Amino acid sequence: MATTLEQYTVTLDDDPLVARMVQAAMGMPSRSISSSAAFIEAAPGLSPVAVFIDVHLGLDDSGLDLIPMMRERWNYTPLIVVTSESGGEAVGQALAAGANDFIKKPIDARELTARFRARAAECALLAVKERLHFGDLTLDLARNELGGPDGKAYLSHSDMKLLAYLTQANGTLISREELKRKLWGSLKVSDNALDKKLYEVRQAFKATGAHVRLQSSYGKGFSLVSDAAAKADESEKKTA
Amino acid sequence: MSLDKDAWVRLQEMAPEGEEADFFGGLIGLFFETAPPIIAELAAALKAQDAARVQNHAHRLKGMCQGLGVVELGAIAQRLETAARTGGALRGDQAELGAAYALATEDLKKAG
Repeated sequence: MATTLEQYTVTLDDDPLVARMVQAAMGMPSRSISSSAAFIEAAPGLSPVAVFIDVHLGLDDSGLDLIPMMRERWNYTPLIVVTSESGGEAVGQALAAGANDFIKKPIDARELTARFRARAAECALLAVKERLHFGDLTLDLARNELGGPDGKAYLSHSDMKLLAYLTQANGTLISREELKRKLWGSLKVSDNALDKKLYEVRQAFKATGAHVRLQSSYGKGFSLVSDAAAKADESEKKTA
Repeated sequence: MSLDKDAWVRLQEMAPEGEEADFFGGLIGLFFETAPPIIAELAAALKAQDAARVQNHAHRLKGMCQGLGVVELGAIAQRLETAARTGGALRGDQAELGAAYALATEDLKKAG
């Protein structure tokens, strides 16, 4: 049976009319949430196409405070602030916190959809830029997350930097000295420090079940090897 | 009709084709449901001369009025919000708000 994933936006606003307007303008359902507390409770189950956020949600409640959490949860989802505040201060804070754009109330459908499309295109580009693939391994650079057939694993930022460098080398050898320079610049660092990082990377590979190895060539350096690709090559040679 | 024409042009552009009546009816219904309790809270805050609460409720009411082009009630809400924010005199009461709401109700019923 085919499964259809419903596409929807989320409107965080204490005025329920705004969600109706967003829904009509976007041509898809918009889930209306009216307070920060309700949003925090609902967020884990949500996967919206975009989030429209009101700055002012009541006496001691502001959509601004939730933007960092939204950005963390949905890296590539346009977060658009909808405000009737006359000054630019709230908008400035929203953009600094991680929002992608803003529109002023009252809502103009053409402006809202134009801004959404522009920001969605940027987010999609960013998603491509921040993901690397090697064999059946996926690196999400924004989250420092590795994905493979058995699941996910997380690396520290510097371990991920190391792995990204090896991945971009696409199977070619990188010397120990070059890896150290990439991670620590001109600082003198022991081989042991690099070995610890390489160990973390290997452990993460195991956790994801990816058919990728970090191969050490004595005296030469390190390279990534995809066993899945090697197996496919072997079977091709046999059949040739 | 004293509804703001620009607001209704915006809403007409927004309305899903063939579902205009449902769209306008839905918005107006939500306004009738949501505005009276806000007005009651705003009137209570005015009576108590509580600037923070006046600003909060006036802001909500102003936003709803702007969305539907409700001019007079929206102007009162705007005036109260500005006064509360800037430390001005909080002049207004249930009678003034109620009269403006009654006018809005009449206009919106015609529009819907």
